[in-house]
Amino acid sequence: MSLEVRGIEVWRGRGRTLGPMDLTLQPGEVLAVVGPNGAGKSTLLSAMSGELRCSTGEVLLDGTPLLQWKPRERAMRLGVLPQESSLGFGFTALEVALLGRSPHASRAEGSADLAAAVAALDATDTRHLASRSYLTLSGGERQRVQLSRVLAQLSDPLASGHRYLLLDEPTASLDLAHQHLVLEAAARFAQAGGAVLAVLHDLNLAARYAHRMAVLAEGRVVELGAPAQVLSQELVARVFGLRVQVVEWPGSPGPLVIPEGRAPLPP
Amino acid sequence: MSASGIAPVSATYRTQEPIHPAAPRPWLLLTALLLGVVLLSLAVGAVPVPLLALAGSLLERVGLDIGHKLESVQQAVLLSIRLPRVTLGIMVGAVLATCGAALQALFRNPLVEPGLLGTSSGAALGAVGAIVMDVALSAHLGSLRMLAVPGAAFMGALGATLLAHRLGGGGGRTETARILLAGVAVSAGAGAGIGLLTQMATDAQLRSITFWTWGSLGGASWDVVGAATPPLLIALGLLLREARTLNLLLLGEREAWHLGVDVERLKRRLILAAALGVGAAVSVTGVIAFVGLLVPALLRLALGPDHRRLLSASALLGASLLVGADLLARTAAIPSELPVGALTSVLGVPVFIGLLSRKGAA
Repeated sequence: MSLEVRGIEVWRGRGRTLGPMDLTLQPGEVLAVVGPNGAGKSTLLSAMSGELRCSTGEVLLDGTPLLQWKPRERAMRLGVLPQESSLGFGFTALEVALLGRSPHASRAEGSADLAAAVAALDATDTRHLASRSYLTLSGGERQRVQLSRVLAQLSDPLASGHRYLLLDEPTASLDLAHQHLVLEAAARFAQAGGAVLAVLHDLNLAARYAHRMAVLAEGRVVELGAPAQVLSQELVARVFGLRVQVVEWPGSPGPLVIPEGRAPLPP
Repeated sequence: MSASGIAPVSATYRTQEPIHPAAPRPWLLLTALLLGVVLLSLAVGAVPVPLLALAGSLLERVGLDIGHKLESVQQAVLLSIRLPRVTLGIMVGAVLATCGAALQALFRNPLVEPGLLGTSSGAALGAVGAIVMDVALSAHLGSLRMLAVPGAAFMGALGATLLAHRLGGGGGRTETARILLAGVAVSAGAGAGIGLLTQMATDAQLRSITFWTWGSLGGASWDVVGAATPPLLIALGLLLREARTLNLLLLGEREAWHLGVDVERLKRRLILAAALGVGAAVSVTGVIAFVGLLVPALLRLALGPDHRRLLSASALLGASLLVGADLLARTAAIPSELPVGALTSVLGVPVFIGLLSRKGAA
């Protein structure tokens, strides 16, 4: 049981933007996807979520090709938080979170759906915004409310099978404390048996919260493994073109990456 | 993995505030408004029909005599002129407002409206085309001739909406400027077509060009009501069923897809239903602009964007608005009649400008 990418390739015009690639997202883990701009991180996420048809290969959700799932059944298991959302209508934050319950609620939302939505707002520290219009929220608040919507979508204890949460730069517009809060929420989701794939830019956040890291460059996975094994001075210089020190720090669950300046690009 | 050693961010949790999911339920108010406008509209006109006499005549049928009843002229005016006109106004107003709300969700933009999008002018082009071609076609169509005008209006509305959707970048993020420009282009094209066709038309066919450009309920009769009712009610029913999925569409097409909505099929259903409704409406009343903009815009301010309230409330308020505007149109300058679409535009344009400037400021 997993969300599995098997030999996928994505072509745009004549260029291959992704793959060939194999990757498996396991229940219980947080998998961080890192890499420089244009490495194919968002493309990978689009392909894994079924949004983007792959030119070759397939994506399996619990062993069944993603597009063979009934849309509602798929939506109860697989949730996606896009990098940015274009909601331009004044739903309240609570209503946005409740929209996440729609795969579960047949007509009107019941009290269980309301409870799930409120719990999801709590998890992203947005409950105090519940009755505020989405349009009056700041960028970071909107992003957290959208995450609540996806958490509410996947928060059904009755749903059988595993649940997969795909996050595209969930911390992009958040202040420091809320970056950690959001990844703590992701970690709790994984602890409860879910699986999280998060595209992240901050290597230290990734090292702290991820069980595994996938480093992407030019559409391929160049490194995959535990942060302590993957993160090295050499890798960061090679992939990101950045000179860094990678150090162990007492009490920190992963290594710390300290930037020192741009590195000369490898030949 | 362990998150130990991190200062608990939960310390930043705010004190928990009560949740208020209860939203206003305006049904009583809107129904009362519609009932009032309808009664007023039945009573007022060149031949006044006193409501007391109307009540007396109705009660007389069940054996009660309250001393008032309708004269035969009043009865004739009521039954064969005013009642079909009001009935048509209710249905067309409800459908235009509901189609407006649904198209706004489809384009994820509150400035979209059947009139602005070109849907209405496309329908008018189809209807005018069918009327002008009538002589040539009637020999072949036989009994299907009755369906020629509404059918052509539907096709025109469908084509125009699809074109506007394509030009407006309906697939991805929709920008206001792009949609409005698409609407301008489609409307201009349809307007040019209507202009050319009117040159080819005979005087008898061209009862009045203003009928198509400004709209009127003056052509109402029980025959017209009978022909327009099925497509109008079907369109209304199809759209009301989509209330929940329209909410999800507001999140964005990707987001709706991830929440289990078959977005492509939903879009096809919406465009078909809107084209059916607007096509049927335009084929019997001409283009009545801004009902579809004005009504959902006002209701969103009062009720929020949830389509489970918005759609049916739009139907009720749209019906009231059109019946009220028609009452004004036929009584403000007796014996002549003002074009009802001009009145709805007088109300709608300020709202449109308000929405546009707010959108620009955001």
